[in-house]
Amino acid sequence: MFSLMVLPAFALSQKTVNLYIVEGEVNESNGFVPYFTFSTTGSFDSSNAVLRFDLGEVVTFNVKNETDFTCAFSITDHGQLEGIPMGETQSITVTFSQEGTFLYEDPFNDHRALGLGGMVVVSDFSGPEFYGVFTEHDEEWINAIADGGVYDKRTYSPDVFTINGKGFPRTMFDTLAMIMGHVGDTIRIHITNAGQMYHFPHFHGYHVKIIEASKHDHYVGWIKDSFGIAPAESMTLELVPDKPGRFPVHNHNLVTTTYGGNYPGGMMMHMFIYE
Amino acid sequence: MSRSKYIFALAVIFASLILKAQPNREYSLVSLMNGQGTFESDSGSLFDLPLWGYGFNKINPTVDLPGPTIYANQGDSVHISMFNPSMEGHTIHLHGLDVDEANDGVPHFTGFIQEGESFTYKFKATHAGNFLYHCHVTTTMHLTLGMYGMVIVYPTDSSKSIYDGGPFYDRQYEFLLSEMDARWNSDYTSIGTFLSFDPDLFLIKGKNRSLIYNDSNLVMTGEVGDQLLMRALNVGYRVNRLIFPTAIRAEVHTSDGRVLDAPFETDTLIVYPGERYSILAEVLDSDPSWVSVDYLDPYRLKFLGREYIPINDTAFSYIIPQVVDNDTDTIGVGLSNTPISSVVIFPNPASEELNLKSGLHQFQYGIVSDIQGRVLISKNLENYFEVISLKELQPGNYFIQLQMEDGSYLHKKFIKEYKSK
Repeated sequence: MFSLMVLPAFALSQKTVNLYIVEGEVNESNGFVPYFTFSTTGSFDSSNAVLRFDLGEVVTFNVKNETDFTCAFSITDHGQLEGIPMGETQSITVTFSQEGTFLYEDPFNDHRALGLGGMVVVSDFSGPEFYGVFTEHDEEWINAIADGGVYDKRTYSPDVFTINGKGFPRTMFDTLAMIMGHVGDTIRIHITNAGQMYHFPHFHGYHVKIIEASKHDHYVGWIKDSFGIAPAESMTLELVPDKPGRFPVHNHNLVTTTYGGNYPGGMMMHMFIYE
Repeated sequence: MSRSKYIFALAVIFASLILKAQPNREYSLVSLMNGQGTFESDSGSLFDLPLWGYGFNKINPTVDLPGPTIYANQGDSVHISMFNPSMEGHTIHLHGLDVDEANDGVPHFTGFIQEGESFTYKFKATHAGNFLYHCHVTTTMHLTLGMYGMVIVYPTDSSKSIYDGGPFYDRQYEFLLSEMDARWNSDYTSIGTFLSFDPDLFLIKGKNRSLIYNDSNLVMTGEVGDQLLMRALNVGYRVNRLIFPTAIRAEVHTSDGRVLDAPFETDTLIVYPGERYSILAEVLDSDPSWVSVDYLDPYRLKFLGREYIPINDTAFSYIIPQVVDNDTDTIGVGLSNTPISSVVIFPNPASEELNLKSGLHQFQYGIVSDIQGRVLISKNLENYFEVISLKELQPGNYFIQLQMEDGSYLHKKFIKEYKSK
């Protein structure tokens, strides 16, 4: 019903996005390991592209699989490409008639654990917006999934924890996740958990209002400073800072605020709020 | 601006500064690295472990686990002075109190309190509710070694209501939930990588097992009709699940120091790391009972341990919980296009029978338990396809634990429904 209302105005708003599933490597604590992400340019970046669309946009995704195994592509609540053979490109057209934050991923054979999970944001919000995709990485799983090996799902031992593919302090130089604003601004923060574990964002300095949660729907409307986000869940948060200051936002499972097993690192981003 | 107005404005600013500087509540704490705590082992014996933590600043100070609880009324200005006589730097982070940067205790912005130094943390208690404090220096280690405590904010008039204008209670109980890795505490110099955190002690306000039942502050007591306020705060790194008994009616009223627009009744409450809840429990049955507190891993919420909060009960006996988690499949095969080995249970919801089908290994054994962990059905199995009769079960939520011939286990949830005729 909602889409009927907005579609006529945006019917001509056709957009094409080329997505490449590419292999690179990330610096894990014990060295470089293979890693896979969705890229809009074709060149590897440890951060999956954040895809932001206006409400009502009709978007055709051309997904090219540049790996040497079969992949898939899905956007939560919006459709799926079942199997993209290696080297091939498949297309799907999606109408974004619902505001929100959504996971996109390769849902095939646990490929999200290779790194293949990102965020689609559909929004008409015109204020400042920031984006954080929380993921953890288990080298053994990555190697087993990428090379066709066997791994035990009961034992998951991630040793690198990232937001948008970066751990603290590199999150401070990530314009997507480095929250900057002024006292009184209405700021939206989109978060997606592309990992296999629950994560627990904690805000220093301010409470935030949870305005959308795809799994913890009882949270909607709550004013929180700490909460859980389930694997494959997305949330939209609203922050109206009442004072200036520099404050962390970090996972309160403090094992994940490490890099190479040392503190601080990993899942910690920041808010810099000015007068 | 005229001169008199200018002087008046200055006077107002000056007066407000003086008023602001006058705290309603003052606490004086120390941070220490030479504490000791007593815990109970699985076999029921008591043992001591070294602790770090906070204590009151006095002659011969000692570490309390948790640190001294900070109490305030809504609207109070609170000053917590902290003296650090220990050899490493420490801070106090006031978790959830939305303090300014200078009082936030984050060392990479404001440094830490070095050995022999003091600092006074200041904040205004703007909302009634439950908050935490903990050290934010090398937090992964300092916190779990014992450097944490609670901040409890009562309503403005300190009445026995959950918040200003909120529902009243007869008695209140503070359940600070955390866990500890005994290996880390026994020798912090040999912790190694922080990824090694593997908790084996599950704590309620710093205590476990019979030590909880022996602490009169942790035994909830009430007659039928009494309203008991349960404050549940998770300062650990693991997920807590509270399972309330039928002897109480539990209603959740606040979370993270904010009033919920719609209080809700529940028989189970998940409390994630850093979260806090106020739960109003009406006593429906005054016979001894307990709230089960589960400690779950953030990966698939696997069961790690359980402690019990007693209600009208002081006779401790540890009920070994049946391990329940919601693992759905155990082995993944990364080979492209190879189907993931999996076990299917159907129909779900089921009424009279539950069918089990495995694609890779034969079944060996099946255990059906309820949400409290009670085993209701156990059955030897042997084939790839098996059927379990559910005729004996009441309608409700159940877990089935399946052991496969290769020795692997898996768990699934299912619902038994009323058979429609």
